[in-house]
Amino acid sequence: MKNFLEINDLVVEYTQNRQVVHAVNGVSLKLEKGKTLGLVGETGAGKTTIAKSIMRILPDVAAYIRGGEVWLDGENLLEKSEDEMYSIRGSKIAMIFQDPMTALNPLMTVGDQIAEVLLLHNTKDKKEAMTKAGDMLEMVGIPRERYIEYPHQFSGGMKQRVVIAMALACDPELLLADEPTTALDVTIQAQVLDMIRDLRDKLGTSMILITHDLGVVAETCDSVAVIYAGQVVESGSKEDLFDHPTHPYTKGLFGSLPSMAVGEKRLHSIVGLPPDPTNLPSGCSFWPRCPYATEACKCIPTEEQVNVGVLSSIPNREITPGHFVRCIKEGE
Amino acid sequence: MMALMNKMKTEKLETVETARKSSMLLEFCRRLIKSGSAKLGLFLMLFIILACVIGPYLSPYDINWRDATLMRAGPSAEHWLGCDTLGRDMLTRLLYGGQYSLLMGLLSAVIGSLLGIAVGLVAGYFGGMTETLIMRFMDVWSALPGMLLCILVSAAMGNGFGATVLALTIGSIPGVARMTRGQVLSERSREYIEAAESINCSKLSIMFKHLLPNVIQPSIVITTMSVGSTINMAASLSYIGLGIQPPSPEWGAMLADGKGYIMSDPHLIAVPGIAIALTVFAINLLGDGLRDALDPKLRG
Amino acid sequence: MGRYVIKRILWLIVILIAAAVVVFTLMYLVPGDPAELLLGVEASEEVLAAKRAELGTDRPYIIQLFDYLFNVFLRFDFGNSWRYRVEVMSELGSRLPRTLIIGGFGMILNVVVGTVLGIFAATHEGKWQDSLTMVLAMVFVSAPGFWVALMCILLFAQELRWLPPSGISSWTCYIMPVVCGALGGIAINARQSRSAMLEVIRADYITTARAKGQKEKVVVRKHMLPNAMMPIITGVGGGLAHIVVGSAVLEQVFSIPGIGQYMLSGVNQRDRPVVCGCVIFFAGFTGVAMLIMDLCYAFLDPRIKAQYASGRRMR
Repeated sequence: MKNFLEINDLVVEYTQNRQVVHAVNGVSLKLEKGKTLGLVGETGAGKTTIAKSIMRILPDVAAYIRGGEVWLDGENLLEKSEDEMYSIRGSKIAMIFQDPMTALNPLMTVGDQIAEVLLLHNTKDKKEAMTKAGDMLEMVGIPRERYIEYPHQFSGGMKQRVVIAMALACDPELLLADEPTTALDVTIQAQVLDMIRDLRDKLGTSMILITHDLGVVAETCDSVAVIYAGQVVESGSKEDLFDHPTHPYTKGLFGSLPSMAVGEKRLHSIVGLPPDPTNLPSGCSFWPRCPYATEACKCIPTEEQVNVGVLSSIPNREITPGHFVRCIKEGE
Repeated sequence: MMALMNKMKTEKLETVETARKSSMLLEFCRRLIKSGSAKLGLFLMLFIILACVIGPYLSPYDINWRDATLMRAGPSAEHWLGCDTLGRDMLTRLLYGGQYSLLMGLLSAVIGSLLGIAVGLVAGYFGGMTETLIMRFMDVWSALPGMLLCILVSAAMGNGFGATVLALTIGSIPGVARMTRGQVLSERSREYIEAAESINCSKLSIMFKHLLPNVIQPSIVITTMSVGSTINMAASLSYIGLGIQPPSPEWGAMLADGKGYIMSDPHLIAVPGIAIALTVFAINLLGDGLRDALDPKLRG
Repeated sequence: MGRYVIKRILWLIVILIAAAVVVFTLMYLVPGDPAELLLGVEASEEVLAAKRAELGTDRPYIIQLFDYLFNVFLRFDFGNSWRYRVEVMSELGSRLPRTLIIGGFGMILNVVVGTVLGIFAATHEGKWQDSLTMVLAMVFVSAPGFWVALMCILLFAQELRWLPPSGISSWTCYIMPVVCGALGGIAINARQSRSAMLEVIRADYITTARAKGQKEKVVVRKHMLPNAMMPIITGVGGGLAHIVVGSAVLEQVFSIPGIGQYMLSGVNQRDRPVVCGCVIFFAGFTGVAMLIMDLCYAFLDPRIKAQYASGRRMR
């Protein structure tokens, strides 16, 4: 298998107040070993759900993976037993969470929280785990002496460093970074991001970086997938997307970036709000906000497509090698 | 001209404000009704109140009607819930006594909460020495568990309705005061208080017009719940020979009246007890619903 | 930390003195002349005067109060019962074990059963197990404790004849008082621990722990429980007050000669030394329990410990 990670037609639903929330609707992604994929999209587009589905740590009462495959290194994670997943989580795949303030257990020392993951996957020896946890702290720039301190004694940026140390402790092959800098001060954001990048390069980890910051994508990623309403609307190499954004939504995203080059006075914004995930529009889910929408965009998916959870029948077409766009008007 | 325009503007703002408030109230009612437990509690409560208010008039028996041959008689077609120790109709007395019990619970809980809120508001808003003194005083006050204080006050004050309400009120003040103060402390630093202070609102108006509406929500829930626990406390008081005593038809007093006959005529104890349990159950359901409707964050 | 404990103990003494003043004053305000109450209305004025002098009730209020406080807090002497002329201290001592059995075992039941039920309901959120537990809890929160006890006597002593209805003649006599005394607290505790647990279940750090590959059982034991413990301990503190006071009424129901019953008989007979002694004991008991509870907090939660150490927190 060429791709280290391959997700095919992933469908995830939540049940909330007896309503079905269509969080992820047939997402397919590919990631080569050692590369970084950026997932870009608005809040609520389903990015975090995709990441949590890969690790299978969605809340089991509310969320339900309805279909799809997640191939990692030739194995389908969705077919693994819970016991097998225990040994994969934390060692093969690790995750950095969005909000470092709440991601750490307030009643355990930060060192012990790092040592916990080491004890699970790396070593049975408590002393060794503690030493290694200290090493990890130093690697993310925290003095070893702070091993015995509790999360409340750390600042937000420091906590995120601890979370990163925890994620990287067992040399994961795949790192899922879920908006790792969103909750931090702007000045700290750059530091933390630089650190993640350095460590990724040093350890040769593959990474999925979830963000809504296109600047971060440009600096960090090799390829990009744009997510809208639980679907990949455009994907390709970073160059493909940045130089030839094709889907109207992607164009809108880039239009909302401030540009130095052209003498424009205003930022463009995408009109309207993201669709209600309990009641997605038929056809292309972007059509209500799309400036180019036609009647053809509202086409209703066939019954068998609905049965497997695909709510849109807009085909995903390859316009140049590796550059996919989910829009019927592509190339016009 | 300017003044008129300003006045019009204020009026318009106030209309907007009222509209917003009423929509909030509507939203609150909608959420309250949506919760199944609250609906059941509300329905039960309305039923109990209606029964207690109208029931005595519908009953063929007078409250003091008695038949010595029917002393402690069990339930029958004429006397659905049997007769009490003097041969009076239990159902009539139960419904009539419900008025006492409900009124007593409501009065004590509301008075206690109002005093507690006032104390907490003053302590939280003024801060400094006032706060320290008040809160230390509250600490001392609550050093004795509420029920204990209630027993002592009741012993000192006697068995009247007013004395019992006072006894039931006293224990609940420190808890509400402490909670309100906590709420005020977290609200005090908000911008809207600063804004009100910057335009020279009087302390009283800041406390009651601005702070109070923002800190009162948890107190409403606590008050509702404490109506229930107060009814329970009143019953315990009557049972141990304090508070309201027989021949008053208050529910606790009815329990006390029948306590000598528990083995031979259990309906004397069971009937008022079930009435109390059912009422408090309804109130607690309502309280749970209120809590959920007022603050979805607290939803358990 | 040590300074905090000392501060708290000093504060506890202040509270006890205040409680003594309050209870003494309230009992002083009870209408009626104690001497007349003891000797009957037909007693002659000389006999009554002699009795008043013996009890010390002929002196002004403030003298009586300070005399009492002096005796209690400096000489540890609670005085003698007016009616039975027995030392209140020794009576308290001999009754203490019975109240402690009811309170202690009740407390254990409360904590263990209440917490387990709460966690059980929370982990089955929305399923029938959850609804059933919560409805039952609501029933026992709502029904008056002494009435439930009376109904238990009816069922287990009268109808089924499994357990003795009252007295302290054998250990089986304690089963019903302990269980009935704990029921209300269990219900309250179950409701509280359920919502505490639900809050923790949704916390981000639980997802973190799962993402580490930690087994579900260990996640519950190592991450969820300690965090849910905080509000649960608060509930236990409340439950304790519940049990202490509940014991008074409960001992009355089951005719157990414990401290609660002693106090109530004192209240009914206007026996001031008895009532004051019992109330000061109860206040001290709750105060110590609250102190232990706060120390548990500090032991479990490093954030609170830090506050104690810096002296920023004081209840």
